Amino acid sequence: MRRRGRLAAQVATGSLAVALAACSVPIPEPSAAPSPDDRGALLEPQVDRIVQQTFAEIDAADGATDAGLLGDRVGDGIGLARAVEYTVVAKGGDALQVITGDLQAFYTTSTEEWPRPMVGVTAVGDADSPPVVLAWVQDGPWEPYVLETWAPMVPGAVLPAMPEPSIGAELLSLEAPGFSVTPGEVIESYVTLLNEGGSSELDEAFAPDPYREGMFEARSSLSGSAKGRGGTYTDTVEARLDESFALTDAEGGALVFVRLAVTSDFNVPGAQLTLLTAADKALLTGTLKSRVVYRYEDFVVIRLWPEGSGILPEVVAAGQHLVGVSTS
Amino acid sequence: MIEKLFERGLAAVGLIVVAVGGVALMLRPVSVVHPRADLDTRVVVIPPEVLTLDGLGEITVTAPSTFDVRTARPSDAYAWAMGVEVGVVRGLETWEDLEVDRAGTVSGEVPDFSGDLWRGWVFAYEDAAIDPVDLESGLAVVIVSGSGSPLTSLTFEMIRDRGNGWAWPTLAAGLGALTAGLALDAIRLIRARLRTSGKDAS
Repeated sequence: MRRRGRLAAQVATGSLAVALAACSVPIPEPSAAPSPDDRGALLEPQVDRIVQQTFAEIDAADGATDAGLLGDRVGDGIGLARAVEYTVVAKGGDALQVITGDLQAFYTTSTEEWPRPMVGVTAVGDADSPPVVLAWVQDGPWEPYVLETWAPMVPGAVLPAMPEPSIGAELLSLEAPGFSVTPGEVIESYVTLLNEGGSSELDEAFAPDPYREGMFEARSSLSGSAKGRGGTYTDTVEARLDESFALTDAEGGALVFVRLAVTSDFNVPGAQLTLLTAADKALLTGTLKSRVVYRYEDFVVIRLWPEGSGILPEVVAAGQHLVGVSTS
Repeated sequence: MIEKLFERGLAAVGLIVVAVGGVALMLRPVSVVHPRADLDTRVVVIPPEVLTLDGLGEITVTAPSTFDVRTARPSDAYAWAMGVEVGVVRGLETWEDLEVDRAGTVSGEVPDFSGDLWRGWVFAYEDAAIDPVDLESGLAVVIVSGSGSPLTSLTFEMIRDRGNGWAWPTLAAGLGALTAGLALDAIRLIRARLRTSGKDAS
């Protein structure tokens, strides 16, 4: 009898244990994170906000011709160039280049690293206002995208189709293969060409472009003038590699965005030089004697085609930004 | 003898199965639970893998005053959060508690300007409910206190899978086996008695 009772108790305990175990629902564990639907670093509403804030600063500064009104959205380099433009305009020089925030396209990247760029292309204007390529850069996750430079498109040039913003273009290393040359090589070659001039054998490695033609023409004229008085004229072009970048396009090629520091040095020992324009005089720092140095922060965009295409790299946008005139 | 053993065994098994099913039904857990965590940081990150937990419903955040709920690509959110002291929600510790780890570095200020990373940015005051269904899949949620004080609490509404949908069928099967065992036993007993009374009559 006792045995039966013990058996019944064991059966009941077992049943209860089974039921309790069955009732304890396991806590759900996180599974693999789903990928974002839109992988691009920026989507259109974010870009709109950045562009709107940038041009609010530029419009305010342009309206007052006061570069001091440029804020966090405009980089120091382009701010300095704009300040120079205000001085040139005030002294009767060329009219201010009008840039609008009306974009026809923007390019973002899929990168998760910093610094990361964003590129905008303004809407088509009239013949005197070609589309302008604008480059913003964000240096870190806590930093705003800052407009660093811009360049008008070269007449007749065509920008390639770019990946949708929701996908984002790949931010390439300067050694990235898969193109007619690497982005780093094309920068090095183009800078060498600019320094060597039109007689360089590299002249045939690039499609013709008005930026370098204009630089070579000015160099030829100024060199002749300096030599006639026993002096020299030299252009020194350096690439700012850490501020240059390359993005894949949607056609198998790439766009290489190159920042250039250009120094034009006119030196006639023993002479007393005279600046021709009121703007140059206003910009000059120091007392002018036999030497004058112009400094520019230029920006060119070079299109690369896929490897094996046989098509020469082509400058599709180029802008020259005078940032200073000095005596050394 | 074998018939008797089978019938009584069937009834006994049925009884045990009925007991298991009945206890399981009695101990059934509630189907909606609200695990929560008290917060002691100004910034809390909820990764996308937590936002897709099975059974997750609304997320409720409370704070002493203003705060905002932002969304960003996870890599961007984590990079941003590395600059501040944050609570990172890892999931459920128990059905009552959320697991929130501290991460990042101690920082006095949470900058408000860096708005370029954020896909979404909603302002709230004292409390807000976030429905994960309304969020773009794959994004992380970053909750940032607008005042100098930490956020107060975070609560998940969880639909708990009861895990005992088998209880009713078990109970039914047990009752069936018990009934069958008892019925067969009863029939056998009746037949035996009828046979005995027939013999007595003859």
